[in-house]
Amino acid sequence: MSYKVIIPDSLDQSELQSTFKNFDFTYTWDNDAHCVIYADTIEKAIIKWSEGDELKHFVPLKNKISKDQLEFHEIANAQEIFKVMFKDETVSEVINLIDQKIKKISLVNQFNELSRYLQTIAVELVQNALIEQRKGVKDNFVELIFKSNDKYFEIEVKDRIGSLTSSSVLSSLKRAFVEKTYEEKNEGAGLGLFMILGASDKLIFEIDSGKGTKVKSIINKYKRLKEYKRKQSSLHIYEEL
Amino acid sequence: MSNQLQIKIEKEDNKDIVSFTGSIDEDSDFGPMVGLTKAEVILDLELVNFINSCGIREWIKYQEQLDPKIKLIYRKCPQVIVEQMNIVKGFVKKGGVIESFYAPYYDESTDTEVKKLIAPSDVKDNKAPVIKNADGNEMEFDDIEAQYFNFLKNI
Repeated sequence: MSYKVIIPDSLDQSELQSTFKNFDFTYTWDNDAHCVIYADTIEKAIIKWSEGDELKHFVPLKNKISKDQLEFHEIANAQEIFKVMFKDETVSEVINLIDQKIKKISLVNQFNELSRYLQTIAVELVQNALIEQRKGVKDNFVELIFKSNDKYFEIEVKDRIGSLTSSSVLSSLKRAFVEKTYEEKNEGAGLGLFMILGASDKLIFEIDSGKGTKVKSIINKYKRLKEYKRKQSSLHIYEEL
Repeated sequence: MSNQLQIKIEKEDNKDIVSFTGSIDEDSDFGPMVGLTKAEVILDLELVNFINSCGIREWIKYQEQLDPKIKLIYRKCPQVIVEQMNIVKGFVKKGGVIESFYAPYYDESTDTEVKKLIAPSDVKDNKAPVIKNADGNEMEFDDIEAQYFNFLKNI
């Protein structure tokens, strides 16, 4: 796939070729770009998004951007740690169940608070999916799969509704980044995605409209809290209409 | 074992001390706190171990319902609470006072993480206070100072 990419102002043409080596892209300033390479924070990049833009990828500027950085969305040789199905559990039941499962994961070489961030991601993803699920067929369920390999954790949540859109994801994130508080609405607080993105290294949405949505959060196995806090998140949305 | 929020209230002459234990979420019942009338209410948050997005909403809404004359004092705020104070508007009530909070440190000599209870006055120019381990070795602040202490600018 070839991407149309918006690059930071700070990057001049001479740096372009070396920075984007091995990467098939078209450099553009147009609003039909698919990807923005951000130099500052993902918050500032998402705030610039407007309804109607084609942007679906937000990637931090690092020393070298590769196809891998854009297209690596599965952790290799992953082992499934646990899988849970949810249907009509209360919030407290979801939190307690995920808490019990995550407590059993060995975090010997990772900082202590990592388990709380993993729990936040899993709880918010499941709650968001349950809200979508309740709009659809009653007997459907939401699936949470927790995987890891030697370098990463991967938290995957699937619904069988497929009601999310790239626009709904980005507008929710933009609202939270701009307003920095909850949203008055019937279900949810409008802060879940904002918290999930902030806690993830990489957040990937695979939306099959009207059929199902798979959301994956990938988190490096950081040893130190400080390393984790320095991470720059990527966001990728794939939408099958 | 359930992690549901537990609230304990101790009433003193001129203040109420409210201690929280567990997870703050939309199922949390702030009922025991309704009707607090003392001029000063101390919120001891040391044992809060989780908060979800709807818990943040409920927390802000609860504080908005309190008598505006009540002065809220936030005591022993753990990292999970400090993080919300940093990113969510209204998490600390206007006029609220942070009495103390936990700051993460890393002891390289023993490869251990340590949470130290500090006061806002310990943070000078957005720099973490120097804290030493039992052997007198300086420990490293284990977060990004500009981010972690950001909430102190607004109080």
